[in-house]
Amino acid sequence: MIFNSKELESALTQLIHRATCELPEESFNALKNAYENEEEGSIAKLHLETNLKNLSLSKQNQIPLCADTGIPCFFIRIGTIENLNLVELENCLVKAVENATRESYIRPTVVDPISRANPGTNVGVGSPVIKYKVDPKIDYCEIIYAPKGGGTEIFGPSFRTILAADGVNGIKKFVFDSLVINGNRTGGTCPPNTIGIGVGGTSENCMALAKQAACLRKIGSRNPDPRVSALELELLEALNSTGIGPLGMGGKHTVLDVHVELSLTHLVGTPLAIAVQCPAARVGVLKLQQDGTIKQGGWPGWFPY
Amino acid sequence: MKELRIPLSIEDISDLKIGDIVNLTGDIWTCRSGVCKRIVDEKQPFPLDSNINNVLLHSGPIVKVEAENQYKLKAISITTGVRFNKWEPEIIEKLNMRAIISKGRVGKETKEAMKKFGCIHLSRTGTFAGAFALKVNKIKSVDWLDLGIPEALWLFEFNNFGPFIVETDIYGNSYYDQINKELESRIPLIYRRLGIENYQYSEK
Repeated sequence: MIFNSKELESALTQLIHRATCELPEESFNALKNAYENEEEGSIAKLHLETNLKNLSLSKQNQIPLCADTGIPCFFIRIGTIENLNLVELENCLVKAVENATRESYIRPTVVDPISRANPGTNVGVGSPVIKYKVDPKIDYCEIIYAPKGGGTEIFGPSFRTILAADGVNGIKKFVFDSLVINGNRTGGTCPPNTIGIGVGGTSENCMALAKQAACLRKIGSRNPDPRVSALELELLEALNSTGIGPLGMGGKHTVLDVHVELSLTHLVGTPLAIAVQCPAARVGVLKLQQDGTIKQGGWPGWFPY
Repeated sequence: MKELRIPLSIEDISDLKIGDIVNLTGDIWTCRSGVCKRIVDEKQPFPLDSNINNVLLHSGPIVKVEAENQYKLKAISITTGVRFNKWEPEIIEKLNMRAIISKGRVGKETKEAMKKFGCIHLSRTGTFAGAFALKVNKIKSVDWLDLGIPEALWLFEFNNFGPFIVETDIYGNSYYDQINKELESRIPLIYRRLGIENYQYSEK
């Protein structure tokens, strides 16, 4: 075993606490830019001004950014690290969520989907959500905590498949119609949002790609594939020109960014998925090294751009 | 910015127009699906005095239970109002509510009840929690804690809570309806720019 379980559990509990109260600098700056670009005296500017004030107060007083601290989700990127005990790692993740809930760092937010009974711990069948990725380019294990808020989970996601004959315009129509024509335009997802779009893969991988694109890519980052980055910018412009604006009350900033991710898919057609991330885009990173030391990470390296 | 004191009277809210900005001082109770179910579906008696406590907040706070009957508020944010449309009209009528605070809009039936019984909808500004918990002077009471901390019925004493936007007034006008009309007029141009104005998915 390369890590001390107690030490990792405690570092993870603190990671959850910190990520719940402080927005990464990149995401804060995106909101600050949006504030500066909205019209003086507008309701859009008031919304963003309230956001910025609340963000500073949360950081100063270690108050959660949002009382909806989300469904706890972890993304584990495993490099060429040896003797990593994944069973014990998962135990630590679960215990850290329980600890953070007991300390009221996070709200008991997950419930049984039928009875709606709240276990009060945020853990149980399927929670926390844990996803893995193997990355031979790194020699450590990256643990990302990126909880998912309810507004964007309930009012945000969409899925459909298109046929080979439908082309790129089919993607554009699906995204615009899902988010604008049929979307929640009245603040359900707390705009301005970051939009993740999965194109291709199998159906469940497509949705996972969309989710990861929304939550784990830096605002302002572009997909290195020029066909994809052009699509990202075209959709970003289209969504913002709707004027839906912050909280859906009108304004220039409906979305902060659009991130598209591709995966090879079946020749018959293409699955398309949309995931939406809140402006409270909480994300925190720990790096577990081969020698057992735990480092604070910066931005997740899940996508290398 | 208008300062309102709770309990609210009809006179307090009848001058307010959509888009006005207000702050509130006084006691406000929290309400989510669990509380709605008890009041409306199960017809359980409302544990507070609805003549005094006539403003409700759709919110699931984070409260730390420090000891029995000792609570510490950690964070409050404000959740989407339209989700409660199934119960809201009856709550407005039965409990004589004068203002409902939530995120976003309220449902059609709720809007009608607001017009009929004299209630407004206040929509939050911003999306984060931060300042809201600092506006709470104290936790006055909690009922139905068996619903879980976020779903319980909390009564908080707020000082200068806001700013809120009058989203639906007592005449049934809605700020979102107005914004959405403007939005519809922009869509054909955006469709053209994306090259999808006549696009149809192929038949499956």
